[in-house]
Amino acid sequence: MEFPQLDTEVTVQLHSAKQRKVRSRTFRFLGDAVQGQQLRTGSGFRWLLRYESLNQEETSRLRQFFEMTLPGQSFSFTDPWTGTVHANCRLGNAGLNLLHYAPGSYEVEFEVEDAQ
Amino acid sequence: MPSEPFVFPATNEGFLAQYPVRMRSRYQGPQVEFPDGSKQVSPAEFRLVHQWELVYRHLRNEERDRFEAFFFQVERSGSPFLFFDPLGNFLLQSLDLTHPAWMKNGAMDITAFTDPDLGEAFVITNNSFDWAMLSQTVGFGYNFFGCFSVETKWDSPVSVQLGMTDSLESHKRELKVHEPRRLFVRKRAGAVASTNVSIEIPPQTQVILARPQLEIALQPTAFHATGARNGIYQQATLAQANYRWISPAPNVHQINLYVEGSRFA
Repeated sequence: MEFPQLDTEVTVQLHSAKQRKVRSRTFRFLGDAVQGQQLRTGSGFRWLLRYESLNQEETSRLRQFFEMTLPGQSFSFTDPWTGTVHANCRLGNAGLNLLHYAPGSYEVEFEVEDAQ
Repeated sequence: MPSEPFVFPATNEGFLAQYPVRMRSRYQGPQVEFPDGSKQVSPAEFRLVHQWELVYRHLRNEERDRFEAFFFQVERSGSPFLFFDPLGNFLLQSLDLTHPAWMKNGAMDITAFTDPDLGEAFVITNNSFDWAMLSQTVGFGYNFFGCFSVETKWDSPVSVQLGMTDSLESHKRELKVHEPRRLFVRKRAGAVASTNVSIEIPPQTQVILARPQLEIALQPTAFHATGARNGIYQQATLAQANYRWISPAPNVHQINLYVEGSRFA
């Protein structure tokens, strides 16, 4: 499924955020020796996408994308910070937040993570 | 169990919600996340859960009493109720006009294509000498204002008739199409369980149609783009244990309600 674009042909707006989550495990031995182990082998990138002042069509497009993309189903997402295409992304666990605050005005927020 | 399902109440004007409407959606289901970050999921077992936060301001006494009575009725019985997503599309099928959910009456050809103005759209050709009709019956009633609309365009003006009909009343509107736009017909749904929506194509006519939708008319003249998923929740529940109202002035009340509805993804 193709990641939706806004009417301006961009995929994100300002106020979005990019994070990197690296998981590690630490073993502490007798004698205070410590051994660290990085668990996640992939990039660990996640993007918190926040959209403001969306119109009805744009909101519908984002909502439809969220509702048609099942958990675990992957899609391609272009990192707006670097332009790198991440071919194996999925929706984050946070779900989708939608606010309809005035006629024709919406805010949407959801999370994308790199599953690579 | 009650013989009739509980139905979420509306304001005196027939509106289900007021601005702002907040909706949170999430997938709920079994998933295993491994230490390296990979996940194992079974999409067939997932439910898409929506939670709506509905804020009502300037309610009159009888409206407040209606919501309060509903809250205690549902709390006491523990029964689910019928809820209409105020941001949703009530059509059973809106992405594909060739789907069996759309009843065909008359001879017509329906072909899918991608239109530069409308996106995913359908060319409907009625070569016969009679009107042809596409219709769908949905469980939409209980005195809300409904708005059935479809996006369309054509180079030369042609007429398309949109209709909303229930067993009590029929409302049809003939519309001229000459530029890309959304056409609509509105009607207050009667106190009956189902409404038939229809698109009628004149004889010897070809039209382009896209994204039909049926929604609650939040604003008298505005329609949203509602997306494709059906927005009728038969088994909705209240996602709050307490109910309270605030009255800033006599006969003016404010309440917040949290409703949850889900279906298999």
